[in-house]
Amino acid sequence: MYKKESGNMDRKIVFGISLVYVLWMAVLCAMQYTAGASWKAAVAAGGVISGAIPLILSWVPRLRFHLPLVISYFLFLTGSQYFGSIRGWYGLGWWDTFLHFVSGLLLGFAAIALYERLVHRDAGKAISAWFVFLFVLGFAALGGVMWEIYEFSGDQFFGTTLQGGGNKDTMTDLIADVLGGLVVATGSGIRTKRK
Amino acid sequence: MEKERVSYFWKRTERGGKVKRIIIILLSTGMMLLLAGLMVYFIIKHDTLRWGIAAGGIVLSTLPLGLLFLKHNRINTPSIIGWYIFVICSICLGSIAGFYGRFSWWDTSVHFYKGIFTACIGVTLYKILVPEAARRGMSRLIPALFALGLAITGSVLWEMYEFLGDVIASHTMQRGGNTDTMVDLLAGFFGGVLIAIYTGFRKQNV
Repeated sequence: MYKKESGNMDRKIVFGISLVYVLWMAVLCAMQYTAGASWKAAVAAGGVISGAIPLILSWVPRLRFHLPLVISYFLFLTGSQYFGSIRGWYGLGWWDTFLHFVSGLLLGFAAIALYERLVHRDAGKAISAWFVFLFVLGFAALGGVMWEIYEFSGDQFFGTTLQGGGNKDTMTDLIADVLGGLVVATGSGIRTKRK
Repeated sequence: MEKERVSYFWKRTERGGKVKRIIIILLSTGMMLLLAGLMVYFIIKHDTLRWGIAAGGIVLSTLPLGLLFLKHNRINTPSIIGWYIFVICSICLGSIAGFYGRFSWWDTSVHFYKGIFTACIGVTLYKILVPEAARRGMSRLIPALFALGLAITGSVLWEMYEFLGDVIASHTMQRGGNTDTMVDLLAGFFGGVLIAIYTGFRKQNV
């Protein structure tokens, strides 16, 4: 009974955050468009779509939400779409690295959400905390590497310059991803040990 | 009768454990002697780079000896042999015999092998850290992702080591630039994917 209540609460929070983000991005999109900044308007339109995904999912019955995952998802979107692209903070240099750290956190929470769904509740207690730690860390590293592979393939096959910063850029991205994953992995490992 | 079978079982595992210990000791001393010989040879020839590499190889060869101090060493013998194959391919053939420079495909192949190897270690760890009963209540995606994740973490840690080594000291390890790093990561990734797919299909029997 308590579970159901808290599930409904989570659903409302997800709905609320997504709605605020979608409306905010829609207003920004209109403002940028009228100001003639069509590229920034397109980014904001992308923000509307990204925010709409959890908004639609919050209507799916019996779907349970992992709040840290949703919150870090919106932190990441705000950081990348609003501050990064619209406010132009990517030009700062360290902002990109910081967002890779946030995406490491996000991937870590995604790993926990996935783990909780794919492992039977009764089985959970006998599993070593090291397994949870390594699973979360490995998942974050995997996500970081997949992202770099995507950038690399884009550069190779479609002539984009996503990895224009060269080796140093790729390596700092990966280090930031792994550090973000390490934070969540350590936390989840300690929590498993306490249980 | 029942008791006898139990004690027989124990004797057998004990014996298996002893054989494993002997294999570890033989392989590591063999490799250490080989690399020490090479080290002395290169010191006499004033080849600083190669004797340094041989010294690194000696350190890598001693690592499995640490398993002897565990009460129950559950890392299986093929993994231990796999480790020495890696040391031979990377240190002896790759760096000392110059295969890395001579064949452009050598580096990529070693990374591919390393991906397979770390994913296999991942499967072993999965069996050690998750009890048999808990494995049944687990989707096959979990061990597959665990093995792949460990292979990727291994690759990333390796590239970090090369990168930091270059930043601090040598400027030689990642001289192939971004493409080199990415090809290394891709090779490790595909090695891990192979084992992950196998693990996913044969979850209960890996």
